[in-house]
Amino acid sequence: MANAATAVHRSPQKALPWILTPVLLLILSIGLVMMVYLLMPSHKLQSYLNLAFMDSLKVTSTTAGLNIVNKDIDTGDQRPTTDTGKIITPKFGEQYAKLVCDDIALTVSVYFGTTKELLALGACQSTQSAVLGNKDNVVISAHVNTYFADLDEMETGDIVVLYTEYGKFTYRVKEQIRFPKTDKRYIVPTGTDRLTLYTCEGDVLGDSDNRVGVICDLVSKEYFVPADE
Amino acid sequence: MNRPITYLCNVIVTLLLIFSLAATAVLSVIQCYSLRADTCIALLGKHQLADRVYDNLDSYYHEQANTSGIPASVYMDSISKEQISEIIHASVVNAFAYLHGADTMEQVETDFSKLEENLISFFRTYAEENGYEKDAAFEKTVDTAVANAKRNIMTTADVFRFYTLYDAKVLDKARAVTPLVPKALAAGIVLTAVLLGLLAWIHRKRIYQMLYWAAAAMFAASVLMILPMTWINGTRWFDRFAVKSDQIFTAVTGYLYGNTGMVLMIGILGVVIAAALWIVFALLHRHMLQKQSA
Repeated sequence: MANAATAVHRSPQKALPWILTPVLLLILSIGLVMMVYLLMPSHKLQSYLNLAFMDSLKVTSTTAGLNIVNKDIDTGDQRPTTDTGKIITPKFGEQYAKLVCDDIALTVSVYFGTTKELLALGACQSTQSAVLGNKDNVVISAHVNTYFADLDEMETGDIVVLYTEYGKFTYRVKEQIRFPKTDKRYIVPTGTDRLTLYTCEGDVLGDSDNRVGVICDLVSKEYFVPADE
Repeated sequence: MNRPITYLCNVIVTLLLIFSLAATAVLSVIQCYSLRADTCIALLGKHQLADRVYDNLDSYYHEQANTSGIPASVYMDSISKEQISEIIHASVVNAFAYLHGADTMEQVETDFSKLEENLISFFRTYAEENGYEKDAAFEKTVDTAVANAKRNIMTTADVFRFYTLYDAKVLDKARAVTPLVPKALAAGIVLTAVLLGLLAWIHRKRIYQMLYWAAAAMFAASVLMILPMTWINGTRWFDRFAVKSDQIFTAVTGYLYGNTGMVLMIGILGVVIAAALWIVFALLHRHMLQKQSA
């Protein structure tokens, strides 16, 4: 019996391989998975994932929600400016610009992203359009019954200025537009510096199937010189 | 421990078994959970999706009343949460039927006669009170309002966006893969059985030792599943989902977290089974040593 006990209670050195083998197997299998992941051409899948699950869109609650960030953007900013500068890409739900058109006495906050909640707060920029400063179509919309009620009064030649924390962007109205709501030609990327503003066509009865707005050409881009320069 | 050559054979077979077990477990989750309409239907009640759709429509039509002049009650009095629930249920059933081989994705049929009646009645009363002529343009406005309302309700109730995915041909891609899942699962089960058989053959003289290696494979495969799923659930990774409409966000993330939760559960079960196998092995091993010493 004593011999049996001695045999069972073997030295720790002999027990070690039994304990370490599962750990070794686990490390090996994790290594293999990582190797396959790195070797696999996953960039296409990654880009789809990045689109569907944007880091900046994360909400902390278990239900949908928005991180609405309100900012005090100064339309009278007197900081010196330059022709080039750093563009700060806003996060979804962030108020990142102020749109001013003195010709129709319009001043409205611009939020990045278009949702019911943001449309209640101001004008909304489509996240699929260019961030101010980038060379492409900047598309901004708002409700006709609130912020863009007088948009149809904007005329060719009127000046529209967009103020951000990093610069001031001036546009001139080129033409007025009216298009069916299913027509995407005015809101897609154009590759040129352009501002498109639109809203629903005012309709007393029934849902409006048309949109009205303006297309503006860029007049100037002015970036604020950072304080430390 | 065994001789080096036997040990190496055990390591290689066990490594293969780890991936075979992990793949089989994940495929079984896909086959028995992800690809079942019941999974999505269960979310209907769990997350009150019909209520969310109803509230979304209510809020939308209240907001639209400012511009359209049509009171929200004209729409909302003609639809019920039960009807919305039926639409969601039917769209899920149709989508999974298409995924599993139906020729086309059937459109959901629902009774909108009350909605039509309410809208037409509202428009006629409005026209009479305000002296509008009921000409062709008037009839067209009525028809447009009815058609838009139907489309809007159907689109809002498509909480999993199945019809959008169908239109974008994304479901077609999923449909091409769906029949491969049971075949891959069968292959995984056969491969696992073969590898276990191989382990049994290696340990044919001391068959109980096979338990140790099978448990090691089960443990590593489980950890391989648990680690990423814990990270996804712990960081609430799916909360980054781009579509923020309450009902869509809740439905889609609920489905995704359901899947990760299921894989996590199987992983934890795997660790428990591995621990049980190791205990059985240790007892048998001890018994054998005692027998040899005696």
